[in-house]
Amino acid sequence: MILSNELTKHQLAMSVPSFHGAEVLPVKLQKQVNDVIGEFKTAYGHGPDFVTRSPGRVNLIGDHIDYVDFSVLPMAIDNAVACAVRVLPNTEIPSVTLINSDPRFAQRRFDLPLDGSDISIDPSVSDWSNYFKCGLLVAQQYLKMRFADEFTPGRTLSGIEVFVNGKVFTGGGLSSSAAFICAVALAVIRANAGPKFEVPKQELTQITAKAEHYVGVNNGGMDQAASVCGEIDHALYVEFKPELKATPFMFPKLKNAEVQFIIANTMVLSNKVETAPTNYNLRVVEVTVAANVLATKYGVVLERVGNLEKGTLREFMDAYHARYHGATEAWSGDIEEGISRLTKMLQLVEDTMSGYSSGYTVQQASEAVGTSMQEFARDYLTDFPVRFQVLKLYQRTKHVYSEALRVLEALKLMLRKSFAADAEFFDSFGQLMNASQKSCDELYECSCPETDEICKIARANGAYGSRLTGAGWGGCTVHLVPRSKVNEVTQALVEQYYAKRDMNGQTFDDVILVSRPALGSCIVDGLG
Amino acid sequence: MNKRSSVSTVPGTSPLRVGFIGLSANKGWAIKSHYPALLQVSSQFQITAVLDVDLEASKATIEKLKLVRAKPFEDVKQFAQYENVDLIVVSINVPNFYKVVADLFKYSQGNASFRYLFAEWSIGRNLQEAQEVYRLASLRGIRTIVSLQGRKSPYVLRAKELVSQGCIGEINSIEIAAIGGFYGYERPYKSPDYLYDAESGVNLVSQAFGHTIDILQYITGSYFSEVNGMIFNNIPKQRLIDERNKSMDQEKPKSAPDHLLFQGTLETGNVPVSCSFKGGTPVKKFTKNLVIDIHGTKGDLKLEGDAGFAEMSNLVLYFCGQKPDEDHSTSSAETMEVYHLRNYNSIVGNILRIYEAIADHHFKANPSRKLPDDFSKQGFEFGGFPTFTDALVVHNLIDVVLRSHYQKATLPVPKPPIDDDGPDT
Repeated sequence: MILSNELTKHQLAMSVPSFHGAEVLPVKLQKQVNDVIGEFKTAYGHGPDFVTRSPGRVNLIGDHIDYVDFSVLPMAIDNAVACAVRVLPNTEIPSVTLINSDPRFAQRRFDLPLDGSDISIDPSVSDWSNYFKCGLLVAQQYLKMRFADEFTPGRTLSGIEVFVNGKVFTGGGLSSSAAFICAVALAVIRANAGPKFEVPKQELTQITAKAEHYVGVNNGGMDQAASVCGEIDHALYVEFKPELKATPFMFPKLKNAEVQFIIANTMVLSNKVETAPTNYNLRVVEVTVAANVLATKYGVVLERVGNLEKGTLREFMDAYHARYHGATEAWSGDIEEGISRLTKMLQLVEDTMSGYSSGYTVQQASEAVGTSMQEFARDYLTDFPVRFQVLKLYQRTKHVYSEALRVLEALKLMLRKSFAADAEFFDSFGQLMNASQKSCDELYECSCPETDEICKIARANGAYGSRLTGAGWGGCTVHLVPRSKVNEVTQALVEQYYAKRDMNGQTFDDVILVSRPALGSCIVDGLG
Repeated sequence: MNKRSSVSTVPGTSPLRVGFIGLSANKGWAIKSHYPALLQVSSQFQITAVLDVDLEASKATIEKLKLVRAKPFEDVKQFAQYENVDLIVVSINVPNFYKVVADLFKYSQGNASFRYLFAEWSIGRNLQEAQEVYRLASLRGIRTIVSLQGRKSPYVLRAKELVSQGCIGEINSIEIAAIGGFYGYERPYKSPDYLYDAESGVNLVSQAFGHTIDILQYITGSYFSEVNGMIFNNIPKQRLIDERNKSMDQEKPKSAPDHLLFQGTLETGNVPVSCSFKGGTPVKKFTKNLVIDIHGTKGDLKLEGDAGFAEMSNLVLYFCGQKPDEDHSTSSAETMEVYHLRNYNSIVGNILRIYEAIADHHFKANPSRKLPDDFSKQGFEFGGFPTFTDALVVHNLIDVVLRSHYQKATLPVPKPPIDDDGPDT
């Protein structure tokens, strides 16, 4: 993974920042860190050694394309998961105790294998401690690799006591799971490698990127990159090919207005793990099958990359251009070249799949990739549980290529030095967001009526662009708003959306966030 | 999806104290399955006693596994009287099981803390022994658990869910094919002799068939009404092979069966079931080593595994049929589902789920899966855990299969020899 400094004047730190004591923290971070230290003391009767913190993220545009290796535009937000940790002396049996400030997550305690072997995770059960184990497992593998002399086979990790304070909505599409996993992986590395070891952001992103696969979610690496590499006042351009790369950049400076994003929670719970067989993982299967349908049609061979190791839609784009347009290199990420290639891809999708707009049955999909149904099931359907009637390859592919195109257009806007008028930026960027929402809703079918309703209210009251963020099927929405209109939009949402709903004791501040891009993962040390 | 985030696993009271018979740090089944499972529920279970044939072995296990709260034993009598134990786990060879358990019951009279007995399948060499074990447990008045852990496999539970929700309609017919592992032309020279002795009661029929057929009954929610079995010993001598699977030019006799043909009908719906259990090597070249193929009026369901043991392998579930929710009207297309958990550790996982079920019951932790206090068997319930009563049902079925073979006849399955009240009253 690469953390690139090429789009910002601000000199980026390459390691996870470590603060000595809570009082030297940026003000916005102090409250949660002090809270979790207090909660730890109450729960365990003594103080923690350190706190790790990793934020949630909001994706401005580029949804459901990270796992086919197309670039995205997320930013870290103020809301984060904080873990207060005490390292147990090595004389004790290494055990992990987990307590959460949220009573929906019951206390857990388990022992670590004495021989230093990997802990096992049961992906058929939905249990919050599974996410902890994901972070623990990738951290352990990292320690074994990074400190091969010390973490020899047979050496176990230190036991820890953990108190978790999560301020990212769970099931809210702001990636509470990635924030949690990154905070945990960081904590486990810090607990075992000691305070002197500076954790490289690049490596932390690399190891956490696919950690969620252990609980059965076949995700990309966007959330982890945003959580780890977030920078104050910088959004991120995250690329996956040719390498995982995060490039912070600032919003354009406008003449009279300031760019703001409002995040509003639909309060429709969307748990990626629990609905994965019909939602998230099914989409991953559909776009993988689609890449192979296109490859079969155009007689090209895909490299075995991607989440199912069966090639991706980006891989097809490269293979097609190599064969028919003499492109000797895979697409480097160049914006204009990307726009031209993606436009070509959209044409091929029409040519190949528009006749199947009601979806492919397994039989039709098998024929389209030139295998038997048995082979098809083995090759595409056995990596993660999936359930479906038809595979909507046409719609899914059209979404992916057009959404990847919109990200490039969005990046161009973000990097433009000047606009004739502020409205030019707001209009253009807003239109891209609105088109993205339409595509998510109609082609990818990951929106829901509540999301549509919130977007409609926001647009009618001053938002230039409104869309779902994260995986969808509920969760949060994001709205492009000039700072001067923030109150208007917020007020409209409160009156027209939230007032009609049972808030379950939550305040409006709990469901509407106005966030500037925030700092990524950090450690607060020197507490013990 | 089994949601457990809000289920407390750190009890307000002290954890269940576990006395272990058959845990060795160096060898055996328990160290590969029970022990790693217990590590994951260490807030609810704590090993406090280890019994081995000699004290040094018990001590060595305690030391190696750092079981700081455990006391070593070599004598069943003292172990049975040790009051610092709530749950005794017995994971030893079946031929030795009866004697150990009988002693355990005899010497533990008056030990009020001993309340749970968790035994490996099977609970005796034959039906008679199992019945006696069951009777003694009933007299002793403890709660029993048997590791028919296939019932906790996520694949089996998903299959059971689909069948019980009517997604395949009425069951039309079933085929099963499996491989027993040890009973082919070759056998590892280190493999213990009792596995190959027909009298030991540990063989293709009791293990591969016993576990698999219990899983089938559990998925379908039906016991058998009539069965017919043919048992073969076409391989009376096996070639010994070394660790690298190389032949050692030596042979050993085998009296245990190397093939089972079984057919029968399920009580509910008079469903034909046809099974072929192959002994072992060579493995099949064009077919999976484990296949449970269930055909229904509205859909099909198939479980496949590379290893023959459904109760401890990572399987793949294929389903095609009706949508697994209420609404069948919106689309005429069939629903296809493939269920496979790439990283699921089935050796530890299925056993872990039994421990979780025991803990949920004991600590009353899971309000959605509450068992009645007087439950005596799991039967076909989703929750809970299999008991000696469930074990006896399988022993009873195996006994009819053996009699069917000797009598060369199709036989009705008699009611299992169980007191209606069950062992817990």
